[in-house]
Amino acid sequence: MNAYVLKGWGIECDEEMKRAAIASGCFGEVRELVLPKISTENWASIAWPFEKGDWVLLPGGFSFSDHFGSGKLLALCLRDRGFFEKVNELGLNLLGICNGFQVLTESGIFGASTRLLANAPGGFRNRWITLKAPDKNIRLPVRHGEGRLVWDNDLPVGVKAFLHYADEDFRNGSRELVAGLISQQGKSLICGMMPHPEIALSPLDDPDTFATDYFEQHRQGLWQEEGAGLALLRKIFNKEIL
Amino acid sequence: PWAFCIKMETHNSPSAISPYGGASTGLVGVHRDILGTGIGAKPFASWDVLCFEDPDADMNRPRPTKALPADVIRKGVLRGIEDGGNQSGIPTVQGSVVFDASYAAKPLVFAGTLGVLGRQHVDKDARVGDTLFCVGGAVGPDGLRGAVMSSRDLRADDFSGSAVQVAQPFVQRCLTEFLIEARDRGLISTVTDNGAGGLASSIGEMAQSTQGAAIDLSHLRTKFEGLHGWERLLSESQERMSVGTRIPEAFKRLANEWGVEWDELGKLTSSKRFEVLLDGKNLISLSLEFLHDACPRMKLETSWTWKKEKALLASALAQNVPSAATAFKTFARLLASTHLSSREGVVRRFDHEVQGRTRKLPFGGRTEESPQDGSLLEITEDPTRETFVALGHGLAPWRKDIHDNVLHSLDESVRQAILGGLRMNEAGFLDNFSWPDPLPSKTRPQSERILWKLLRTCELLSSATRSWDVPFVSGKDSMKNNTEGFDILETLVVSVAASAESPLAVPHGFFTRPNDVVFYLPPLRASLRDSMLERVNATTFTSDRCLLLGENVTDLDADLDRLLFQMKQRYENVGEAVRRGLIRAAKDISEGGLLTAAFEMCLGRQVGLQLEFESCDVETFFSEGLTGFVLTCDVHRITELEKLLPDMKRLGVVMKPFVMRWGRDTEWDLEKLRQAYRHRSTQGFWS
Repeated sequence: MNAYVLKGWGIECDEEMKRAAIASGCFGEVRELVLPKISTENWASIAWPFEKGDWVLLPGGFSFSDHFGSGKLLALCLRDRGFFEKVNELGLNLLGICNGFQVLTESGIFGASTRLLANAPGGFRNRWITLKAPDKNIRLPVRHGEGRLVWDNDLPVGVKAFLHYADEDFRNGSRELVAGLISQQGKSLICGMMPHPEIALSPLDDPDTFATDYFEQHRQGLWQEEGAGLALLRKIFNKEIL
Repeated sequence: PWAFCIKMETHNSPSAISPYGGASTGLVGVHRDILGTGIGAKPFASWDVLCFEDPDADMNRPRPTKALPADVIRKGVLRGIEDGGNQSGIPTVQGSVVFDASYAAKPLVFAGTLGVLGRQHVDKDARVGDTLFCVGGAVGPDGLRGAVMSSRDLRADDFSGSAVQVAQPFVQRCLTEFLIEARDRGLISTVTDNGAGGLASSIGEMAQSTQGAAIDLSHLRTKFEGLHGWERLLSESQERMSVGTRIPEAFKRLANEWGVEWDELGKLTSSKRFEVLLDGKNLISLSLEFLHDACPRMKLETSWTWKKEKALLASALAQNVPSAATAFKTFARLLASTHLSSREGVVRRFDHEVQGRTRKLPFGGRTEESPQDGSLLEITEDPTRETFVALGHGLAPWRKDIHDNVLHSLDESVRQAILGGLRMNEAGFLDNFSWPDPLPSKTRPQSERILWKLLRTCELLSSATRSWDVPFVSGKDSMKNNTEGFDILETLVVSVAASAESPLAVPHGFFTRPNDVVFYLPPLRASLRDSMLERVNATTFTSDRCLLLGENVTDLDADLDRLLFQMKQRYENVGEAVRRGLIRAAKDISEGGLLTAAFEMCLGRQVGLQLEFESCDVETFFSEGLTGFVLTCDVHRITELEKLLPDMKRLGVVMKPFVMRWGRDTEWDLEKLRQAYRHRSTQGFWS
């Protein structure tokens, strides 16, 4: 099983996404997929390199500078180039983080009415927050301006929320405080979330964890080498999140 | 091995007439400086220093009639930095915002960037016959005469013209990724960014490497029909890099794969001339000697002296220092002022973690409310080795004595970077000047003094670099920061970067557990002179107005040498303590003095402080000086630290309740102070 990290067209977080995917140890190989390079004039003839069961990782940051709304243009480009048909055909697994989540949402994969809108209260914010993951509370950074998750009525069948905002100091207006969605469609696992697990590989990455913790916990044999983000990613890649 | 490079740009005049465009092109423009270093470096961290007109300043005072309103400038600049940085995928890891009424004449926008490149990519390798390309955006009439406009007084027609461009970070992001791959494939022999002066400047500069260049602008991609030849040559349209290559076909192929547009311009020659063709005709043909060396060097003289300066500084009369009884109120007012209030509202708008390298964030603690000094960044290019870079910067333009101004700027940059793990013997400084016009003339008699200050600044920087054995590796100056006779404060920004210790040694910026003992290193030459207390109260509390002692310049310089030596010793000792991992939490004592530093360290985990003082003595707690720190130590190693820092004193003990307790009786509610400190951030001042 290999992983492909999308790159190019203004995508930003491909490097840290790649490092995290390698660190997870879940993949045979982690490859970059430079979108402008494979995107020929004849869209139908694009040679997507995927094989059955591969993971495609959609990194965070911006794409195309997002002047038309976050993730909109990249979602359109992927759709027009037959990307989502490949996902169905080969049973590919997808992980979208932040902008990647916005791309997946814009593509309609989490339901036609599911959207990520501008934060309310508004504006781009970068901070570390507490989130409720399936088994415990974890701390991860968020950095987004359009993370207010909304949908009409109920989420489509098969789509579930797996991550919630649990920090009183951070609100972006998401319905039911949902920060991440997961969807099982045939053999494909499709996962999207606003926070950035890919830069929480070590507990020391957390601005509240520091050397004293390290030395003390090390002495007592309690130190966990693995950050909350890496643990979460591994769970997703191993499909233990459902 | 990896090398890193550092550059900071000023974009003051553009930001004065078009705040959003000026600030965003300033930041995106300095990224290109990094991209044009060696045969291409990758920008990986930015920092900004922004100086705005104080919105709390008297509304009825005279102000330049052509200047845009303060709010328009502030909001536009912040939005420009937000978009320029976030959409480029380059983290903004630190910064400063300074307010003063004088910045109505021009806002200051300093944008700095760090870049990383392999040792093998440091030297350019241009040869005669290399093919020249311009890659990235097309050329338009935007940005014409930008450099000219920045080098004189603002004129009414500047606002309607096209001197300021609007940045397209997306175009540059694609360009950057393509150029880094082209570099790694050996397709680039030389590269220079296109900024002020456009192709005339970039190719004109490249021509020096082989003693000649010939280009043809007939087929240049343009945004509009009918651009004149000189416009094509001089346009400062953004997102363009000039590249020399010996493998043009492979270079074009790779550019096409990335979807990056290019123009083949011509070749490097040895003709000793810079030749430009348009539609088969010679547009210009200039000898390189004339192009680069014909401009005569300016020789400036000033009649101003230290004696005159000293007399001017001493003229203010000192008022009584506020008493310890009113200290709580005084402190709350300080924290609520524009100068000292929390910068959270602005910092959170800038992505400071993209690329996943930031190992010391701008804020620390569970609440992420303690501002942390210095940045620590990881060079992630080499997965087999851990390499770190520390960054710090400083400025103190409000300090009226120029010696005070310069030494505080230098000191703050080093203080910060030491707390980011800086290794002094592997460091490099960067100086950025934004000065009012220093050319003395009949209409500008004050320029005599401004020029003297410029000269003195250069002499001080020179002394510091020799005394500390740290080189200045780059810099930039902007010398026309005045409008309609209004001058800005003489503003020097010093930045410093160096390879750094590992995150396990680097101190964080907040108190952690009850019972931790808190120490402080008293600042050298501490005084209330130009302190935050004086600024907020708009008065003087001390008759001591000069940092250095001496009636003449010889005495001053002797005193300076003594002081620089003392400072160096402090840096070495604190640096050694960091290296050995003795210091757990630390902040430097800067604006607001000892009390502010201690207060800010309480916020990260909302803990309190039992002080070993009976009351808040204003002189001790509000004075500002050089090389001061507040710190906590690994409990098992206090003796070791005391040996290393013998002048360290006990400040108090961390405790659980969120209060500051003086002796047994007086208790300060930190929640109240916290609200004063944060009210601008929570109430939309920065949005």
